[in-house]
Amino acid sequence: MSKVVVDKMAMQRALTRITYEIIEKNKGVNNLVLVGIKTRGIYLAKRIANRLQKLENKEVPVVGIDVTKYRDDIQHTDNEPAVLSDEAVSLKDKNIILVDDVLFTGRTINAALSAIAELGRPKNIRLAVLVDRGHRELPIRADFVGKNIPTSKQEIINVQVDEIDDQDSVEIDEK
Amino acid sequence: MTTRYLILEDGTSYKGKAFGAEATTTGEIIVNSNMLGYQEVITNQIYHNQIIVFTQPSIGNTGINHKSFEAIVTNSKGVVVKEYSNISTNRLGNLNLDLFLKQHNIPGIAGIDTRELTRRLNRKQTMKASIVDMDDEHAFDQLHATVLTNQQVNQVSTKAPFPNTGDGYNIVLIDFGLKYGILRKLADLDCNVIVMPFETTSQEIFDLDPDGVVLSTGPGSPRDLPDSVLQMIREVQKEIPMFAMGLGHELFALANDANVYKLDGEHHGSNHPIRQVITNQIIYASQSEGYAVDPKSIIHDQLLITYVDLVNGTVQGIRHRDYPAFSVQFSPDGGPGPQDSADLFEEFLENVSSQRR
Amino acid sequence: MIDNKIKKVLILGGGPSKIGNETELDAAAFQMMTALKKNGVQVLVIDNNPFSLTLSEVQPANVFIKEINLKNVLDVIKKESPDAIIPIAGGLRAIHVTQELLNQGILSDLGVRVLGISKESLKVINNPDKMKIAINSIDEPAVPSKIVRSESEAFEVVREIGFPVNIKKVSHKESTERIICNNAEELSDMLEDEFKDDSVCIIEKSIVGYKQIETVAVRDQTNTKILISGLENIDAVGVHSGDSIVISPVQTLGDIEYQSLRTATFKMMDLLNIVGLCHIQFALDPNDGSNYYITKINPLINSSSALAARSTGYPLVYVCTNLLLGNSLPEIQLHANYHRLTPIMEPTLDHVVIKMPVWPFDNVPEANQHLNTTMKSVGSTIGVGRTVEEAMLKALRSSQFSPRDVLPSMYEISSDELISQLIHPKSDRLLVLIEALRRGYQVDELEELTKINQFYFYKLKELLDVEELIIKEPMKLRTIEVAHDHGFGDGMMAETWHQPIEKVRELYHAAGEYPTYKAIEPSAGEFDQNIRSFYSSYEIENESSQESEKTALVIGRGGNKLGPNTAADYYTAEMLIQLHRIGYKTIVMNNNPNALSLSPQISDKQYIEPIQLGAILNIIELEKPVRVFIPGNRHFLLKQLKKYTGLNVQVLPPDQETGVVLPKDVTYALNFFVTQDESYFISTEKLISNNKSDLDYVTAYETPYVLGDEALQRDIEESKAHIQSSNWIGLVQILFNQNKKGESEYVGIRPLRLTETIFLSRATGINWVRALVRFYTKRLDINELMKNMPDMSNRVTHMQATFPFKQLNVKVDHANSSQEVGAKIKFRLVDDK
Repeated sequence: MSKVVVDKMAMQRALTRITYEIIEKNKGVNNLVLVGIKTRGIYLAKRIANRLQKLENKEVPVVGIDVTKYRDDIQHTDNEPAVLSDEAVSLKDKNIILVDDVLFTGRTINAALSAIAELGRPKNIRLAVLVDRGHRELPIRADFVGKNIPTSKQEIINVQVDEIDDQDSVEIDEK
Repeated sequence: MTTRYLILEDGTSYKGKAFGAEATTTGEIIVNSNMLGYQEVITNQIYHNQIIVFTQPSIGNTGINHKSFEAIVTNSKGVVVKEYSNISTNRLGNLNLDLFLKQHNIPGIAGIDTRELTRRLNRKQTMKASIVDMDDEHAFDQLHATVLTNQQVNQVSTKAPFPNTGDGYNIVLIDFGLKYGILRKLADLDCNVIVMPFETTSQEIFDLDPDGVVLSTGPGSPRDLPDSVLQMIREVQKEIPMFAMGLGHELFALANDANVYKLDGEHHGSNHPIRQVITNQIIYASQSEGYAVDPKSIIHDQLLITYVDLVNGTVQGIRHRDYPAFSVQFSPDGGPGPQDSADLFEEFLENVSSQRR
Repeated sequence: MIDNKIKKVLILGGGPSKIGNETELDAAAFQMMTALKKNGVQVLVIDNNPFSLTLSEVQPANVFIKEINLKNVLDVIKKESPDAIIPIAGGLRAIHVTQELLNQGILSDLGVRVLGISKESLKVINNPDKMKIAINSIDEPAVPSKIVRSESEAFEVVREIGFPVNIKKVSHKESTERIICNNAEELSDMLEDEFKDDSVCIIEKSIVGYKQIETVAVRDQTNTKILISGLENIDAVGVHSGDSIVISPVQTLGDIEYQSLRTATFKMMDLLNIVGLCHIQFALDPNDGSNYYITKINPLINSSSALAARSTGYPLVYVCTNLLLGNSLPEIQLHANYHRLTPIMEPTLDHVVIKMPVWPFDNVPEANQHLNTTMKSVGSTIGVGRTVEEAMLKALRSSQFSPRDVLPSMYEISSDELISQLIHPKSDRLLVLIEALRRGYQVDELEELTKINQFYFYKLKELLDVEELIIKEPMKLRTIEVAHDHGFGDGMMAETWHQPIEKVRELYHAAGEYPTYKAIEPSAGEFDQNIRSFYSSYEIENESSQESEKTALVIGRGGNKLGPNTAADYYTAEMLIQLHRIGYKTIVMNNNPNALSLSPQISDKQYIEPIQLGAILNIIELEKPVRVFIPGNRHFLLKQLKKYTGLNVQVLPPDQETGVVLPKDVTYALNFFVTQDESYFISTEKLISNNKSDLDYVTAYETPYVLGDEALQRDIEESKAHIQSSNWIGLVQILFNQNKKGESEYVGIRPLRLTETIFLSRATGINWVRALVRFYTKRLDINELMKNMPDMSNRVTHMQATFPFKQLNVKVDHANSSQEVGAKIKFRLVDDK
């Protein structure tokens, strides 16, 4: 049985609040680049960028990255590129907001940091996640959190976004 | 039924039938176009100084009930309707609109062409009006001579703090003319609320160590309040998540160097589309406004515009760029009106929760 | 943003009218068509309702006069390859066809989209179980029910949901009744035998006596939603909402309750992903309005959405059609008469609208007149006023078809029958309530007996007081003022006081008092909108002024009854269109909320008033029309209007009852167009009677009726002789009978009935209403018209009346024409049978 813990309204609110908090912390959107982690992180990053644009009337670039090959816990063979963006965006000296759907062990984020490091040295990197479910295995902490959802390791957190899942929700499933 | 008159500053006189108290009254005359919720409207303290015209022609149909008080009293100056009904729905079957108004010495007048009156008032700037026994020259002289108080908040705000307990976040609610709907929404979310008088200082607030601060709605012009209130807002917003509504919103804007102006005509209703800037979503909410924040005066380095009224272009919501502090012109608690924006209270508590981490 | 891929759309029509669907479907289809055309979309329509204006207004090549079923719709789709179909103006029949099309996967194969109704909502329509699951999935309440297999299970359920409950045995063999149980004893008794043969029961909370509230809302693609209207049923659950007196806006709910229904409506529309409109019904605990259930979800156009549009003045169908095409609410541009933001302003009213059902029992006396959960009314009328009393009385006056403004009453009902009807309501509900008050029943007693909110009894009592004042204080200005404020008409006072109506009118005119007309618009006076629908009140400001120097006033028929009424409404609409086209400003007066003729696109101005002498005179005095058209069954009005105004009053549609008919059998007829100088033969027509050859039972028609050339010539000659010796003009029908020997004999002469006039239009492709309007306004070139007469020899047109007997659960062997509820039409080639 799955249980909805964040519905459409709550998800929209969370993204809205994260957007405001980014403006607060970053003092505006200058020099800002959103880096979304494949797959849902990219859509969330795009939504945040869209909100920033509406408030500040400025385009904030969104870069998608695939971190599979940087994961130290997963075997990988292919050599696909990390950056999924259409155009070249330099991350050098930028304020980066790394965006993902769920923060769990921290290994994905760690991989993402490695990937970003290869693309130039940003001024700083902050982390925004829709859900923080606990159980960190690395010293990583999110700067912007949509919702803290304490979970057991046996549970699965299922984030769905309208763009690919036809609905916005966060559900908890039993393994 | 006694014949009485509603007279306007522009010299118009309407003949009608008395109900409620047979007192003579003078106030600003405004139109409320909500279809239901007359009890909430009449007991909303923002109507201190004001005579309320209802466009919905049949008023009083559901009596006076426990759930619909926005304050336990009415501070309005009078009620103008096409028709009223003396229905009682309380268990003793004895309280109705007429009696409620009598208890609070507020006059009503019925049998008025409220549609004509509404159309007239919408074409003009806000006017004063009186409900009187005779529409003679003397009555008009009195009307013109009456100066309405600008000490409204002082008169309606609580003199002493009082609690509304709960198990959740600790919230300080500053009372500028408290609307119970705000308390109800905070109670729904288990907040532990302390209601404080309007002149509470930042230090007094800090001493209570709240998780969040709410500024209530209230009557009159924000400029009639002492600067100390603005000072309090400036100091508190830096430290504690803040949420302001109505008059609170206007004060929040003033505290952050925006301008507030008096609207040509007041708007009281729930029919205007309001656009949330960040999502383009359109919502409807109870609006009761005589003043508005001037969008041109907003310093973009300080404030973000978050909601806009699509009918008259007024700013309906702002947020501080640097602090988790935001405000809306409308009443997200409804009372009466839509619940489309009721989750702003949740948004506020999410700010609170985000700051506490 | 508008979806540019939609260039061609097929509208599924409503088919023949019936109980539950009268002219509102065609009115919606017509307005939809207007909006589609404005957006550059080609419109196709399929329908077999001969009285459909949409059929007349869509280009003939795009009209498919066929029954709406899977095969026919599929044929049209295959032939025409539209980009989308719109089923929401076609009632449940069109929805079913759409469901079948989708189930079979045909539409996706052909790349045809369905507009206005989502996959999600098609799944729940007419499937109560799925609907309940859907409702509960968004934390909204549906009426709780459960399947139980034992008495103890049953009691477990009851402990949760409380008494009373409905029990229904689930059995494969027979369909069983639902039985209500009010307490533990009844439940035990009831269940004693139920579980012996392993059978199961469904146990459901009974909501009889709950308050019924309806909402109508729209939603666009970007998720913006507006509540158009709340409708309060004065009768409680137990009486079908279509049979209840309905009031808008909602009067007896607090704001908190109302807002939770609004929110629930929106949540439901989000869940079902509805882009367009939705009508939802709720049942509320009368003692605790926060305890409510969603009982029905109708994501389609029906009489409730029609009432919502009519009562608010919100251009619902126009807006909805734009939403279907992909526009968002802020993008929709309306006619300049409206405020630019009207599509996106939530309507708020400063008037009261009350809908009164109209019953078929005069014409079908065999039917059970008790009101229950099966709808029985065939139409409705509305009263609009500035107070509840005024709206109530105007609705009551409008629902009475007596041409005189006599207030009906139930003086004569026995006290047993009165009590019985209070508890088990029958059709004259309001009159029974008034009579009970007159006899001294107390309000709380009545509230208990009827489950009707006390508020309405206070209002009715007020009306009784005013009636008493009228009786006691005749011919006083003060009496008239009070009476007017409460919706009483001049005619009623004149009748009561035994005075000519002009004496009454002179009395208040002398005091400078005239009715003030108020616009029916959705902003409660906030915006100056040039909206053209008005109702009367007696207040300060009159918002309506004389429309023009050359105005035609068309008086509608009022509420839909059995008989030729849907046809009459089409006829009225067509007259308005034709009068407008020849340069008149047109004004219509009517009070049927479903009426096609009240569609704002059809006339320049609409007055929603009782069709009674006083109200008509008021409008005539204001508008000074140069022509007045009144329908043919209003002799009293005609006489009085001629007397008081000396106006050019034209009876159109013609009287159905007049004519010179010998008491003989009839089998066929010849139709003529008769001018002052000449009569022109149009067609032969077979008259098919339900009862031998009795004319009263003729309910099917076929043209042509094949006669030999010689016989035809002889009949034409004979007909012309009869026409000449009569003074009939216009469309005239000569009736014949073919006797047993095969000889033709003349039976009578009458004006062509309006149903047959429309039938004739469909058969010939000539718009005969247009011809008549032009004829009476002296603009008709009859020779030109006759030149265009098509050759009808190879095609047979057949029209068959439809009846409400099945819906009324009665068996009638010989249905007569006064029992018609609608009609269907079909064509075939002469050789086919």
